[in-house]
Formats: sequence, structure tokens, C-alpha cells
Amino acid sequence: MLYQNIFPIQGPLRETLFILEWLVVFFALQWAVLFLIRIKTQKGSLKSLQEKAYIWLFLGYSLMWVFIIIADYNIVDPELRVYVLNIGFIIQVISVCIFVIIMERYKTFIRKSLFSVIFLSIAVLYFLVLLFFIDFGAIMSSFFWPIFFFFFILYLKELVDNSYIKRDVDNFKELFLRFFTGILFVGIGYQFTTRIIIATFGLEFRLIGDLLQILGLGFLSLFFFYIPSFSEYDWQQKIESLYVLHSSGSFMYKKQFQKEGSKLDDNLVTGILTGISMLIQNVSKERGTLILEKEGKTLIIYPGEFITGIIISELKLESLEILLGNFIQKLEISLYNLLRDWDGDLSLTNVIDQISRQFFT
Amino acid sequence: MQAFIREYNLPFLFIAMVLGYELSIYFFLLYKKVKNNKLTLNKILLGYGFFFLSIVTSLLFSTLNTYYFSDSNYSNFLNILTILSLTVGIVLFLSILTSQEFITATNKLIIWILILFDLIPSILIFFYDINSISVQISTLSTSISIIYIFYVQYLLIKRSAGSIEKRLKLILLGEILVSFGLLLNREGAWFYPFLDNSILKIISLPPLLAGFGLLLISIYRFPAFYEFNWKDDLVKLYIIDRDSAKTIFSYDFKQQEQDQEDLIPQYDLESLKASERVLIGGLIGIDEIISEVTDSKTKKLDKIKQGDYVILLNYQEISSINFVFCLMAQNDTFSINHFLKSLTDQFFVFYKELIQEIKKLDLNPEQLFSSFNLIIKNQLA
Repeated sequence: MLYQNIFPIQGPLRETLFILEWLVVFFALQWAVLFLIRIKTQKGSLKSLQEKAYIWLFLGYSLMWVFIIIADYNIVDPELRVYVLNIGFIIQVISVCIFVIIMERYKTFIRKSLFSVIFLSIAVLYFLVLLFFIDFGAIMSSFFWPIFFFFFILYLKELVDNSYIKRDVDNFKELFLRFFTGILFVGIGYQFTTRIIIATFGLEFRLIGDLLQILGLGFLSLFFFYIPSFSEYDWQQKIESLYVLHSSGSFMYKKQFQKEGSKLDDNLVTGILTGISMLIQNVSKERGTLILEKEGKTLIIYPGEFITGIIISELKLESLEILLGNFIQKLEISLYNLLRDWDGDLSLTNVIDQISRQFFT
Repeated sequence: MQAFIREYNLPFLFIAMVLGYELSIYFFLLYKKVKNNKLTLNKILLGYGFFFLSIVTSLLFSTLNTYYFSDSNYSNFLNILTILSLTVGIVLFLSILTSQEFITATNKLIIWILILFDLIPSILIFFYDINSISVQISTLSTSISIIYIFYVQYLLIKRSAGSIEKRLKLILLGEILVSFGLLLNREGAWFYPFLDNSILKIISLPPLLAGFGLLLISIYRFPAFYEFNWKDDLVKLYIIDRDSAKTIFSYDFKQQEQDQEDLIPQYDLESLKASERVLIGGLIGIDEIISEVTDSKTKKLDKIKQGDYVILLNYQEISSINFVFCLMAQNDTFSINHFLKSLTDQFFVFYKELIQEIKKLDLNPEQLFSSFNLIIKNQLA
């Protein structure tokens, strides 16, 4: 049996490490619970796959640490300790696999299900190691981390590229830097607590590792607190059609994002929606984005100075409101004179289409 | 045994403290977030922040004193800090309650007396021995202040509705659990002199953890304090017969505010502005038009929102008559949604039998449902 002189952990650092590691359990469990609450408080179709994935990740991490604490502080028998420890690692390996599988259902990274296959293959390898060389289970479970970190970098890039909530959140880059730092600290911190590092450098490294993990989880908390629901990132899949109409009610441009759309004539649709918009504006005495909600459909109407933008989507997402506002403002700035003196000439459609590509693809 | 208790007590005490500090930071961040909005009760977020900060800091000093400092000089100093930190938080919370926004829910004189009773023993402990009567008076005065703070929150719960009300109840329950845990942790020996102090510390953990956990879950992503003034946001209610597109009942909440002395307020359908009449007719049409435009004929329009203004729609069918309940408000809040649902339920409780007879008896629906304004008044009381 390896490391039998180090465990169970004794000496002056025992109490501090014990407290810090329970704090790691708490922080991870807290985020699993908070993501669960997020999902429970969202309406049916708003439930985001990403939030479900994070529940598994944090729950697995928290449970793994419970078993590590039990094994490293309370079990004297080395053989039993290895078994208990590996129960924790098995939980973490399974939860990481579920996390990656759910994430790849949400988005393809490099190739379809690539990381799911990689992680499942390592998991199979890990279970084989457990069957024949259980002492090496802990080392084997560490192989997940570098690949997991690489996966996270890709995921982070995807989030940054895809997000149209940038304007809504101050210091957007700083926010994602927190997320990256958090993941990096948790990853490095965890490595510092592994048996091979402790055997080589001593328990002081475990202390540093615990502190890094807590710091990392703190950074992640700062990120998750400020970021809106992950369902906001899925706006591309939720948008059905986009209309641009002149303030006179005349149809100017339409872009259909999904196969099925309204069978009504576009001129009729824009005319009707202009009428509704005027009617409601007359009652509310407010000018601004008008939103009409019904179960499964939302209409967002953004009135500019010369033109009005309309989005029909499956969900009411804040990112779509911001996106539509940005799009209409950009059109009005770019085509100011043309829109002011517009005489019904539909040749503007191509220009509008080009600008819409910058926003909606 | 002592070492075992210490080992298992400390991590969970620190978890409770971290939870408390998180709550405090969360309240400060919420306050910062909504600071610029015109919400009259915002300051209570600041009060909660200080309240939890002081509770947890007090717990921290008490824990350091119990587990890490054996020297009597340090111990006395930490004892003073334990009492002071709790007093400062409570006094700050009470001071916030004296501001104009809370005047209807609080009594200024009582608050100033409580502040005075909190401050005097806290100052006296600097001059007298830490084991003197002033410490016991301080504990008593802070306990009374905490009970008063709970009472103010009870009054705020009464002003809220629906899911907000439930959340606020949970917050109060969490606070009661935390206070109970803190009392056991600090003064457990008063109540259970036969129990060892370290055992009492362990017993205090479940209510502390459960309380802080409950608080975090209750307030997470839930700006409940937007909701207290929901009644001021109500503008108009229309009940429409969908088939004939006629308004069978209307209620102007703003008009009623101006005309409170009338027992039965005047409502005159003829006086509805032309634009509103067009809207009523339009609302029925909009639903079908939007279904056509969005290619979804099955579901009905639930909400129309422009800026802060919102029109909520609720559809009901009774005895083959289709009703549309249309509530207009200046803010889209949980309480407004709950209020519309509650009104719809009340309407059918009172008029269900009459509605079944309405076609046979050829009754005038406007006269028939006119008494519904009394029910609305009752709901708002």
C-alpha cells in the first residue's frame, strides 16, 4: 500500500486542513443547490442544459471531497482507505462524464461528441485500473483534469463568442477572466492535494491546494452571481423570424430562421403589428420595446426613429431584446439619410441583410 | 472526547460563518444593483446586510474566544468585540427603519428607545468587568431589538402577496433559526446549565446551518423588495366577454385612490376613453392576430409589455361563456400576477351560479357584476 506513512493526516496542520476541506465541500455543494434552484424557478422550456450540467459537476466534486475527507482523516486501515477514496473518485469521474455529455448535447466542440467519447474511454480505462491495480486509481483519476481543462477553454471561447449580453454586463472580459481563473485555481489546487504531490512535497502543499481551491470557487461564485441564465446564450436556436418595417408600417425586410413561419403576407403582418404597437403605445403612454408574450411564442417590437424591428421567438430572452435594439440602432446610423427619405424602394433589402448577418449569424 | 467535539464542531461553525458572510455580501450587492431604481424600500437590503454581517462577526469572535484564545486578557477583549459587533449591526438596522420609507410599518419612538437600550450597556462594558450585569442587560436589549426587527418583517409580509409572501416567510423562519442557534451558542448555559458548553456549541450548529441555508435559498435571485408597493402599480381591470367583445366589468384603481370616500365607487362604462374601448376590442383581436402571425393557434396571449407598463391577460370559460380578465399595471411583478389569478378565482366563486343563468334570464351583465368592486376593495384592504 502506498502513502501509508502520511495517512490518516495527523500533526499541527490536521485541524486547518480539515476545516478548509469541509469548506471546499460546502462551496461546491452550494453551487449545485443554487443551480438546482435556478432550474426550478425557470419556466419549462427555459431550463438550460448548461445549468443541469453544472449541477452534476459541482455535486460530484463535493461528494468526492466528502469521501476524500473520510478516507484521509478517519480511516486507519490502508486498504479500506483506498476503497473509500476510490468511491469518491468514481463519483467524480461519473459526474464529469455526465457534465461533458450534457454540454455536448448543447453544443458541438471540434467534432460531434468528441469529448464524450474521450471521457468515456478514460472512464473505462479508469474502471479497469480499479479492478486490477486499485492503488493507482487516484493517479489515474488525475488524467481527467488536463483534458477537462482543455474542454473548458473551448467551452469558454464558445460562451464569449456567442454572447450578446455583453452590453448588459459591465466588465464582460473581466467577468470571464474570473471564470477562467476560478477553474484554473480549482484545477491546480486539486492537483496540489493529490497523494503524489503530498508524498513529494509534504502537507504544506495540500494546504496551499485547499486555499487555491477555495479561492477558485470564490472566483467562480463571482462569475455565476453576475452572469444571467445560461438559456440566454441559446438565443440562436430560439429565434424564429426577424422583420424590419418602416415607421409608416410598410414592410422592408424579413429573415426566416426556422423552416416553419407565418403563412400570412409579410406586408399584412407588418401592418398588423404596427397597428398593435400604436394601440398599446396609446394606452401605456410609454415608448420603448414592446413585448407580447404567449406560451411558447414571444414578439419583441423595437421602435427606432425611422424603422421598427420585430423578432418572433420561442422564448422571451433579454439577449434578444438587446440584440434587436443594437441591430436597429446600427441600421439607423448606417443608413440614416436613406431611411429618412425612404420611398418604398426595396433595394435596401440587400444592405439590411448584410448588416443583419453581423448580428444574427 | 473534547478533541473529537472540537474537530467536528469547528468546520461546521466556519461553514455557518461563511454562509452568513455570503448572505451579507449578497445583500450589499443587491442593494448596489437596485440603488438607482426608484424603490422606496431599498434600504432594507442594506439593513439586512449589516444585520447578518454583525451576527456572523459576533459568532466569529465568540468562536475565536472559545477555541483559540486561552489568555484571559484576550478572552475579555474578544468578549467585548462579540457583544459590540452584534450591537452595531442591530443599531444600524434599527436606524434604517427610522427612515421615511418605513414610517407606516414602524414606530419611530420605539426604535429610538431600543437603540438607546442597545447602546448604553454596550458602552458600559468598556468601564466595567466583562462578567458584570451590563453584559446580561446587553444580551437582553439586543434580544428585544431582534424580536422587534422580526415584528417589522411580519408587517412587511402582511403587505406582500403570492410567492413573495412565501419567500419572506421563509426568510423570517431562517432568521429565527439563526437567532436561536446564536443564542444557544452564546448563552446556552443560561437555559441548559446541566449541559457541557462544548455540547451546547454542537447543538447550536443545526439551527445555525439550517437558518443560514434557508436564508440563502430564499433570497437567491429573488429581489423580493421590488414587490412591496405592488398595490400602487395597479392601473385598471377589465373583465371582457370574449364572444361579444363587450366589457362586462371595469375597475379603475387610480380613480379609487382619489375617490376613497365613496362606499361604492362610480364606474361608468360610457366614460371609458375612446382609445380604451378600441383597446378592449383590440385585445380580443390581437390574440387571434398574434396566433396567425406566429403560426400558433392553440395558445393564448398572456402578457403585453411596453417599458414598465404591462397588460396581463387571463382566460376562463364558464358555462360556455369565454371571459378575458385584463389587468393593467405600471410594473410587471409576481404580486400583480398573483393578484390577477386571485381576482379571477374570486369572481367565479361569487358569480359561478349567476353566470350559468345569465343567458336564460337575460340579465344585464354590467349591473350583475357591479358589486365585484367591493370584492376588489376587500382584496386590497
